[in-house]
Amino acid sequence: MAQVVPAQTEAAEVRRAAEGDHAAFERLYRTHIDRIYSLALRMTGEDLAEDLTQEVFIRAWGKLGSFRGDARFGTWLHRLAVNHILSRRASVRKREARNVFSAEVLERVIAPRRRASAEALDLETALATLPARAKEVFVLYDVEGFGHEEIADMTGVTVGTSKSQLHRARMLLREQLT
Amino acid sequence: MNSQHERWAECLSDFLDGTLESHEHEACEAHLAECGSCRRVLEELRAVVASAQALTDRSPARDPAKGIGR
Repeated sequence: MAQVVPAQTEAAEVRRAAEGDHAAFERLYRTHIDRIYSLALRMTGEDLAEDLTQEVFIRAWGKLGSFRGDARFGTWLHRLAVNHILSRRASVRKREARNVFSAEVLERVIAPRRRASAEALDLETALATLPARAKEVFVLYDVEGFGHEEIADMTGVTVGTSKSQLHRARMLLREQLT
Repeated sequence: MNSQHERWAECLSDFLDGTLESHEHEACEAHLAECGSCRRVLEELRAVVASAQALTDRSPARDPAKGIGR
């Protein structure tokens, strides 16, 4: 669970980390790792989430000097993470294509359980089964709170496409969860 | 299933998010007043959004910290 760190304390930690203080960076890392890992997990899946999380913090360490403090460190880090994860989409998709078989196996396992039990499927599990683009938009809009214009800008699609992918994702999740 | 129903069924997320133009929002609201099927889907979509907003952060199984900042 992320700790709530006062902005001034965090700004001082960022300055120390930017000057090469590993302990300060580790404290920043401990504060924010769960949020970044959860974002990577939901956008890409368990196979890649830990590697992407590590890459995000390595990039953050390398870019600390460019952090000007206009926004909270967490906001800067989160945006850096989204951009990095989106930039790795091609390799993520290749991995997903290889995992089609396992998704089919998962569905065969889940479907009888769904029929046998009145319990709804867990949202995290259902999210993992969404098509990549729909999942991306759903996570960015409904979980992370970005607007359609920001999502369009980050992902290189139109606002209309972002809206239609969001609706597609919600409809697919609704089918699985109800 | 008529074309008006299909049109508004595709707009339910926009209705929920308040991103329709005001005249479209009113027209969609009028359709919802008459269409039990769309009202049910709208409530289910609302539940999906509420579930997404209630998700909490998760921790990685192993600590990916090794090799960072060293």
